[in-house]
Amino acid sequence: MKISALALIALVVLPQVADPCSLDTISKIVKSLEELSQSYVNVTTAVKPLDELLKACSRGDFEKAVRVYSNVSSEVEKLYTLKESSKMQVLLHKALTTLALVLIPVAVYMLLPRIYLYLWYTSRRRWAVVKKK
Amino acid sequence: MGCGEEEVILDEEVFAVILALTIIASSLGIALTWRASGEAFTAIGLLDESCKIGVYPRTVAVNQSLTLCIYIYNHMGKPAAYQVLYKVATGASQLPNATAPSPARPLGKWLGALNNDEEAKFLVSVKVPGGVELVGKNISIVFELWLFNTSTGSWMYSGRWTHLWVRVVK
Repeated sequence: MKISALALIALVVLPQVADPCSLDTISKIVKSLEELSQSYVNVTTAVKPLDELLKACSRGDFEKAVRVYSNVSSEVEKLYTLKESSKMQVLLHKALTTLALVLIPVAVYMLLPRIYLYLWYTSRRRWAVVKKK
Repeated sequence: MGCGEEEVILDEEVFAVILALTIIASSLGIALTWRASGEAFTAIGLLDESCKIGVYPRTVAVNQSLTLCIYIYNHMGKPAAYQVLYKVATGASQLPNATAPSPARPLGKWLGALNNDEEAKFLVSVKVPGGVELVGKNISIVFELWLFNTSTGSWMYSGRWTHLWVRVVK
């Protein structure tokens, strides 16, 4: 009875865990990478092993696929830890860039006449003023 | 400009034009900073065996190996898993179009994954199966690009394909 129960569990659980080439496995990995890339995480380090995994699957190299799958899984897990900080970093970078760009016209409005005047007077510092007759 | 001298030295109209140009440039910069990645698309191309646009075979013998190079480009704004299916179309009616893949059965497939804005080139070796009934006929070697759709959890035809017409010889 115990053995048959274990066999049933193995039949239900093992195919999903053991087959790195199944559509379900590929779907989970690709979905995770899409989610991470939408949170501005650089997923290049996980896309490379995913590429290897898919190539191994298309060649029917199951042994290599299992090996590469563990690399992909660990890489995806690692990238998930960067998800929040990456999103914040990119948003902060964009916000600061926007602020700088907004300040440029204000700076031009405030400083251009002053700088122009300063340069105008500096370039004419040796000039003598003569009263028009 | 509060000072009268400033008005004389720096012309108000010139200053207004400079300011307008700065505002336009700044607005453009802000729009570019927050823009989305643009139109999403993928591409597939057929290259010769040196992976360049060059001399393509015009004839092929039955069961003769042909070496070609496939080019894939991903601009979906996200990573993509792809598969390229190889099919042989014996007539124009068997060619794929932008909405439907070729009805011919797949004779080979190559899988891979690309990050956004990445491209891949790889050599493929294909054979034209069949018998003497194909000799003298024009057939099309078709490569279709399929993408993995995470919503459905299955491969979906991307609407992109490339084909090469060849005459089958003895």
